[in-house]
Amino acid sequence: MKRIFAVALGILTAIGGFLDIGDMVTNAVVGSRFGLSLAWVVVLGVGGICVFAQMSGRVAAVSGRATFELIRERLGPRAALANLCASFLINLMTVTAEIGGVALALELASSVSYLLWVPFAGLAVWLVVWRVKFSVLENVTGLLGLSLIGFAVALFLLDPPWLDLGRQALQQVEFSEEQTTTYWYYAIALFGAAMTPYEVFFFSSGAVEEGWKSTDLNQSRANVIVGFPLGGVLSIALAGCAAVVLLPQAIQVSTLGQLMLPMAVAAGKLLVAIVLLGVVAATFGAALETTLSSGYTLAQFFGWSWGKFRRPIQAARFHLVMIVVVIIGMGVLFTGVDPVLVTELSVVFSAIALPLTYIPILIIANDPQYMGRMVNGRVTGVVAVCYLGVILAASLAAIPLMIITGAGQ
Amino acid sequence: MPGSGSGRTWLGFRAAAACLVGLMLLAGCSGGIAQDLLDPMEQARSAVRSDQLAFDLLAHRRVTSSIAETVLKTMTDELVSAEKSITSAEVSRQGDEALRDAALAAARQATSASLAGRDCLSQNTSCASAIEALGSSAEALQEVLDGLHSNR
Repeated sequence: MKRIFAVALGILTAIGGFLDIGDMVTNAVVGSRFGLSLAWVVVLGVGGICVFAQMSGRVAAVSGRATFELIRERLGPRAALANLCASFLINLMTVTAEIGGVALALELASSVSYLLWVPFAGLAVWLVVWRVKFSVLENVTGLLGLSLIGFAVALFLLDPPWLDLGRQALQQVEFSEEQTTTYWYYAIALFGAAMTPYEVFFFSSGAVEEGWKSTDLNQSRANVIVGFPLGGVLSIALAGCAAVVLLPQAIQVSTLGQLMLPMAVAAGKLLVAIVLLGVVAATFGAALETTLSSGYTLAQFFGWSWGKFRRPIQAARFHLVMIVVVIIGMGVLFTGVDPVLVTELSVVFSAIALPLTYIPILIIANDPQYMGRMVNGRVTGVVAVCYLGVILAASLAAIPLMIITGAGQ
Repeated sequence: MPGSGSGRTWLGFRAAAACLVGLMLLAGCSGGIAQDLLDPMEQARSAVRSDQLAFDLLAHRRVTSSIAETVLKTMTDELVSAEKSITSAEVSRQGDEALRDAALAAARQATSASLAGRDCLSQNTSCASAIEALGSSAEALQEVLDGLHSNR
């Protein structure tokens, strides 16, 4: 019974924890501009994160070491340093976006400017990563994030023409030449949002934090293979809500407030309040995960003592890095930069840096000397290599498409 | 051969840089003022329609006034940003100026309607005139957009 409860809890937190500000903004933007015609990218991205997250969890469980320690060991300090710089900068952008997301959601609830909420959000993030146990922070934010099931409820209550939505998702709509490049730009953004590198750093470091053994792998596999796809369903539901309510009115999502309008159309204030709670929980949870991931990557690269299982005084540099990251994120937001713009850019830059994270994981997981009997099977290996091809193509196409489309204008 | 590897890398780097510059030039190439004005005008139309939807939902008590107020505030910022983009659109041909002026007038009308809506919500006064102004500014924006589409 206890085991079933643990698996259920893991799956529920994986659903709630899957969505962050990047997923929400990108899916809403895409739904309001292209309907459900990019739903296939969410499916592709969810498949990719399932493959690589369970692989990194397996590597961590077998070796007792997290992704970045292994990246340095396998690639050598120079290549790993380049990897660290890219990953750390993207993490920093994501921390900024998530803290901004919390502040924007609180602004919607209170109509007090988000800039006034930024210090409170930053302080709360720091207090939680400093004081609260790893399992508590992961489970509470994940479970509260389940309120985002409101996206699926809203789509159901909107009673859309399901056949039309299905047609949008399955048959590619024809666009003008200009829209085609924008379509592919957002395809890459969606892919980057689904496969953000911090998720893997957090997942593998979390495996070490929680002391996973090979015997825990079935549970972690269930969390990933059931939880993440259900999170992906919520992403598609959000895009569907935007496609049903906003697209016909030519409303293109550019703020978090517009994301609430379809919820209000579907079920009024109650659903808006529930979804708002979910947005705060999901962005706050992701802010915690990205802040921790910043500490993990840097500490693991330099070989510092790290982890929430240690008291802060025993991992002082790890905690200092997280404080600095939160302060920088708040500082960036105080310049008045639009948090939604930071979010949109962070998911595209994530896509650019994807190979840096996923190639080393694949190399290690394919190594029978290192992994023993837990080495990648033939099917997993082939699927992962196919995904690597997609990741490389997305990474190479991201910058040219960003320039041509003026970042999706 | 020592040096040939780095030479190839340098050549590859130059080719990539040239491609990027080419792409930037391509992105910077203008398709005429109608093309330049389309994005900000669509941004303005989206903002005004969001305002209208927020008011509609508020009238039906489906959304709290704090959310409606935040939507109006952020949409006003969007409209100001659209106005700036319209103002910075370059005029190169005769007739372009008239197009830009029409677009700017419609965007300004929308901004003042959105501002009026935001003010009436924050001051808790009647919003009837602001809603009406938003309606007519939406029509004006659509008219200009139709003109831009036919001028492309």
